[in-house]
Amino acid sequence: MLQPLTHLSREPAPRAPPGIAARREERLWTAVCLADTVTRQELESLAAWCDRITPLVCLAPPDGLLLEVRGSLKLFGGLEAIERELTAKIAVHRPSFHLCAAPTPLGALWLARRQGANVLETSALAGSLGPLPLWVTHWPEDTLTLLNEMGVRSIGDCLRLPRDGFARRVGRCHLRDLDRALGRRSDPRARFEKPRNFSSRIEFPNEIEDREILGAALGTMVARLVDSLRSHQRQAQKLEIILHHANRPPTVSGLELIEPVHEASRLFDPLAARLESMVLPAPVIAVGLRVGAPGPMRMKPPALFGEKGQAAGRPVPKAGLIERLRGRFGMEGVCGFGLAAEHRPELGWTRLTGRLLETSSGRKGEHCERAVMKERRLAARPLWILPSPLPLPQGVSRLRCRGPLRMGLEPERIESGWWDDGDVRRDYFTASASQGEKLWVYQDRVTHEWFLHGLFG
Amino acid sequence: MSVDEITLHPGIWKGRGGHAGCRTLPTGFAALDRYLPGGGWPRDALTEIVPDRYGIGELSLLMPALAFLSVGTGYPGHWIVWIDPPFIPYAPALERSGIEPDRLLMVRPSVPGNDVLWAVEQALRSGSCAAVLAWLESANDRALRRLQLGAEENACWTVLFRPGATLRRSSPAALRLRLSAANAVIRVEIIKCRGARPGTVVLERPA
Repeated sequence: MLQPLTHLSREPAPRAPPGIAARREERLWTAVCLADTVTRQELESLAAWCDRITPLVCLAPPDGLLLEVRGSLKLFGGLEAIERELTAKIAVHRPSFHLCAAPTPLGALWLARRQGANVLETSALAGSLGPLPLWVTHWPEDTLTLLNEMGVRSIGDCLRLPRDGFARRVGRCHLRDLDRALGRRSDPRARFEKPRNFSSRIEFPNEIEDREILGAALGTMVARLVDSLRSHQRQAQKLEIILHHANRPPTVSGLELIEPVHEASRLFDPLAARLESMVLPAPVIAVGLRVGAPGPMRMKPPALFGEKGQAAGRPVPKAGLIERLRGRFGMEGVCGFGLAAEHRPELGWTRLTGRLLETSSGRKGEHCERAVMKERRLAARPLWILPSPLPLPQGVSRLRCRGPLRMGLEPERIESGWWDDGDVRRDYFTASASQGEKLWVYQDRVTHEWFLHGLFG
Repeated sequence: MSVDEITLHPGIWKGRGGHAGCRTLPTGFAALDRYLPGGGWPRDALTEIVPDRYGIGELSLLMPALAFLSVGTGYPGHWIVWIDPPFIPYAPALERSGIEPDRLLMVRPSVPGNDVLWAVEQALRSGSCAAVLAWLESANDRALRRLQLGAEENACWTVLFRPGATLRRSSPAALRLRLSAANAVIRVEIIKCRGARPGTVVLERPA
């Protein structure tokens, strides 16, 4: 057996993260090699699935995955059972792939590329890897050509070369690869971390304008999302639908649910409503769904005595309605009302959108001071208020709004807000118009202009 | 099935003998209660109100009933939904009329018309609304019938405010009112009322 030369062994060994390479000799790696070309996204989604077999999954782009299975052997009942699980999952999407287990990750991967047999002992690795052709290493093309010209055809041929010569003529990194494959050198690998954010995309073979097809695609993506949320134990709240067009920027529409959810129906209904309300500026070539930062899953514990305990005070499913309405009309299209302790009429109420709408606590105007509330009860307030006061044309001698106005006698003076740039000095009158409307008008005491502010509906 | 059972159906009019089986909501106005069959607003049916113009007390007519729904025990925590109102309902004034502001929900459809119908139907079907008030410009007979069915199934008081031009057309609503105002009174013209004859009620305008 060839021994490493001194100048090579002086090289600092790559530092292994604790727990991964330190117990190298105990490890058993199963490599999954997908024969066809595979996108990074597909590889990642497969890796995400594989975490139900082992917590240590590594990507080996461009075509492979590595799973550390030693710790799972007992749970699944042997290597064959794990391979059966993997085969059942991968075979759904990929017709040709190969699995192979070996004590080193690189060894397993090389064997899987050549469809080799499982190797369980480190000592047997050199014998199994020896006959493999060099292309399994995925070394650069010129390196392979050089080795070929030297008459080196297999890994075994490489191993027979003197180490220093190999390092000098072929490359030190390739020598390291050989060492790692044979288990002479530690091979730390980055653990695949499942992306927390969910993103899915479905591409259509041609341009689509049919909303039913879009809805079906959305349904598929929601199913994927539910899978992903369940495996992460997470709940989604902020969602985004992206419609991709051929020659223009994509149409994006965001949606925020009242509370984080993970159920398919509660995700699909608002998304479908939003999709329906989206305007398609052009035919769609792909549709995507993105979820930002899903939060941890919180489940309500079931009642000890089941339905009986809930029947009395069963909560009304209020959230569902708001989510559906928001899905179609946007966040600003749905609002609730709150009270504020404020003398200026336009600030006496607050529009509650977004998160404020979801909880009714803090919405009853506890902060309203009693004095303000009491004053409000004494003075007349109209049931309708205009979004912004409407300037009234002044007639020759009488104010007009839909005909001449008859003014009430005593004005209510409101002067407030000099401290926050919303200075208001107004005299409010109740006015009657000719057709029986009761209006709430005011005169600005600074400019002496008249405005309509509300209607006694 | 006996005749008595058949006559319980809300669609069957038994003349002046009253209208059994029809759930109602007191209007808060004695004169109107006396006139309407069952003594109040039809609770699980469509009510259409055609005000001459806004600001004549069209909302104050509904306030006692809404306050009853808002604080009553029948509908704890249900929404009172306002769909596409012409102005903003003023929360302090509503609170003064006895309505909890946290029960109110205002919906502003991006495109009026079909979106209003869609929103009304969603509100009715959600089962989380005590009352739905909607300002609906145009709707065909079929759409209204759909809403009427939705209101019946979900026992939700549904009030549609319609423009004057719609009075000429028929409607499946159980109650249709036209409102006009004189000095201090509201003139309620009952155009159609399931279980009673058309007529006019004059109410004193609440302060």
